[in-house]
Amino acid sequence: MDFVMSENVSKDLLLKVTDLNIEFLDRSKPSTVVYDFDLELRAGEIVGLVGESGSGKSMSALAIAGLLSRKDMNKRGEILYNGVDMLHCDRNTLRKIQGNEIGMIFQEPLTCLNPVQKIYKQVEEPLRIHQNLTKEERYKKVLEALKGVELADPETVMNQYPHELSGGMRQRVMIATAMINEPRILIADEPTTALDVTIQAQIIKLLKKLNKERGTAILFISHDLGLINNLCERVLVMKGGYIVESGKTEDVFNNPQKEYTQNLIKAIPKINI
Amino acid sequence: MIKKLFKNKNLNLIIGTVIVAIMVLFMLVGIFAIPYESTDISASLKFAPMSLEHPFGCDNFGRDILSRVMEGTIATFKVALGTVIIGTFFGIIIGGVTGYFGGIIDEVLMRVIDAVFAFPSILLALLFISILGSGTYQVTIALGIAFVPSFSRIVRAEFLKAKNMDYVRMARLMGASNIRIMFVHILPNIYPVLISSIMIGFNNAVLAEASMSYLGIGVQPPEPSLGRMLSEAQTYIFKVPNYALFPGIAVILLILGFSLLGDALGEK
Amino acid sequence: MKYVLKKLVTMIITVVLVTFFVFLAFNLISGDPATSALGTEATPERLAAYRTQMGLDDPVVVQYLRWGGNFLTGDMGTSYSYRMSVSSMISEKIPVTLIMAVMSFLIMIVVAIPIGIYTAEHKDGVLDRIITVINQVVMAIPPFFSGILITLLFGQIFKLFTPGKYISYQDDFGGFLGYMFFPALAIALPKITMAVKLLRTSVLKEVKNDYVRTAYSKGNSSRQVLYGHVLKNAFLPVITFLGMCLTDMIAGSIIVEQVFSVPGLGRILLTSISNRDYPVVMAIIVIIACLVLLVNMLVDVLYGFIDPRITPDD
Repeated sequence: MDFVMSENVSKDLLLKVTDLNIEFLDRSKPSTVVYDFDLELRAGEIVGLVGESGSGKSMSALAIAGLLSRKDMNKRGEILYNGVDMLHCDRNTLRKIQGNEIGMIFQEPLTCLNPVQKIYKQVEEPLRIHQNLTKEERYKKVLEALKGVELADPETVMNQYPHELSGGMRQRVMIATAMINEPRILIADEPTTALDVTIQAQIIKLLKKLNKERGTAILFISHDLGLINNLCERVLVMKGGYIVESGKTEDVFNNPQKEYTQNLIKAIPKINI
Repeated sequence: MIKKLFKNKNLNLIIGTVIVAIMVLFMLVGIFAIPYESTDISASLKFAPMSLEHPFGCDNFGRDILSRVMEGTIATFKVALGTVIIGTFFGIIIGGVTGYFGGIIDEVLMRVIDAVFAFPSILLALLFISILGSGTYQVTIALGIAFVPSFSRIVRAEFLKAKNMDYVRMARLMGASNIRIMFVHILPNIYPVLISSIMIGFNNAVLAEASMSYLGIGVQPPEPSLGRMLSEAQTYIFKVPNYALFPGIAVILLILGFSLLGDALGEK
Repeated sequence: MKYVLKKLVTMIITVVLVTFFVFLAFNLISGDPATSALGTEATPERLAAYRTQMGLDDPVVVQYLRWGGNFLTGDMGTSYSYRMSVSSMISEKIPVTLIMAVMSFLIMIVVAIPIGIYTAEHKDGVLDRIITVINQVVMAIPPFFSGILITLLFGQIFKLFTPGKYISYQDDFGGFLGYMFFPALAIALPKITMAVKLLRTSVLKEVKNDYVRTAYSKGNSSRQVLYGHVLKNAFLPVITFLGMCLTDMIAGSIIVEQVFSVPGLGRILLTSISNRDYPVVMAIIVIIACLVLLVNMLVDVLYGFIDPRITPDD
């Protein structure tokens, strides 16, 4: 499977993770580890990664985004994006991909935004890093991006600080920032966990819209199987650092093979959003 | 194992304990087996070099520097201890009452504390000394008062935090009196914070005492004090560097030892 | 603006409180001003007349207000020992002490900030460890002792200045600054160590925040993350400390002036304390306290401008 790739498949294959292993060297501390993680992400699809906390899902997502740089761990395997092994390439190569080709949003939008910087500067930053645009062009892009995430009053928002916004607005700002360079992949690490249920639904809708309109592939990490079912075409179920089950979302849902997955499905509240 | 032992925090604890132990031992010798009378003057021993009889040498009056450093350290230690006791006692009462009860007492007392806090402690101490006059007790009281505001602020913040903790609510439900809650329930729980601020306060007190006696307003001559020795030694710094060196080292070790201990105890 | 105004009002209230407190304390201890002005042999009638003339029978608050008003116009009373006006005694000394404090503040900033950032950036590196140890030791050296060591090292051995040969700023400003560098350094040393430690801790704490991860995810380099995001946040707690340092330096100069024979405010303060020359002591203490309060207010205002979470509603 690894080396036999037909033309057809490789054309829209964006990201291929093979045998990703993450181990912490300092074993005295409780640590999340990942074993033999495989993933293929194609253009335009939404893949869900589900599991309980400590299952290694966030760790895998951070590795894919190139954000695991702690020295006290051991990383093996391959994360291939556009011919570059993101796991082992140098920081400068990685930086050209981060925020440009791969965007990421996180769980807690308040702490993920710099508290002493205005929204405008934070949304604009990926443009400054990756593109050579004039001030006016950047302003236009930021405005577009903020409009694109359906913020009601973008001109006001861009002059505000994170603490002045609501949780949902902050997450929209995060999405705008991650999407501003029109990346081909968006990694969303539990983006709705810290939000109210109604806001949660809006954000999910927004992600769906962005996926449809721009063809951005999304890797959606969540512990909430209900959300995954709502959003993703394919799903990977993780437990204790291993992928225990994967496939089309409806297949996994209708016919779960592993007891763990069955339990997860049973745990979904019956009232769905 | 060895690597672990030498992690910063443990190292601080070990070195701090060793230094403090040395200083305590040094002071104990000073109390029970001081080599010479620290005020004995001898013309023939003027600036006697370091020798077996006088390991630190002798000063401009031929007094044994080792004995004087010992007594000076004890004097400094006493003042610092007194300062910390005064500051801690009133700090806990003021901080406890304001933090625990809040309301108008809190408003008023904290306004006053803020006003007092505006003075750098040295200046505050000088203010009290100009009121009380100079001398060991006056300096202790002055420094103690100067230490109260900062300490009550810390205690207040801790009581404020503790007041709404579940264990305090439980105690209140069980009918414990306010005094009991404050001193039996809250105080033992906030002591790690207090310990490290007491250590910091102690160090500031050592520093302040040494500065005061350097300025000539602490311990009065001929009783030895580290600060005054330094001030006298300054004149002869080039000729007899050991005169300034040893009292200086004593002050540094005293502060260093307790600050390392405070760091180690406060970090957990 | 509202925030600045509020801080200003708080400061004025504190100034009034502090000065009233000082005024009261000195009123209590200085005994009867009439007796000290006219001598113990003066007749009761003359004393009474003097009291009425000077308004000493008025309520304390009225006396305080009169004193405060006079103080603001530069009339700070007359020195007991020198029989000259306090303002003329101290007006030339204020710049000396202030310049020394500002110099040591600048020395601290210039030295501590780069070292603090460096040690945080290279945490657990060889240089970081060495600096941490040196820091710990230097922190324990009292300023007057480091002053003595500086005299020994730079004065006697390297002959960079002549200890005790103070150069007046009115005679030779350059030479004055050259001389003052050394006492300023002595005051700055312990503060440098604390600032380094605080900045290092603060940066290392900030680096653990989520927004740092976000910054990396945008494609920032480590340096860009540090200078573009982390530092501004890490400086917030440090600013309060730096403000406290400046006030401590103003007060700390009292001691170090003694080591280097600098004729600043500290010197007169000490002589006046031992001479029980209360008007002078009182004036100096009030001036220093007001300076300290002013610095505190400026720090608060500055803080409000840097940290958007504080202005303007808090």
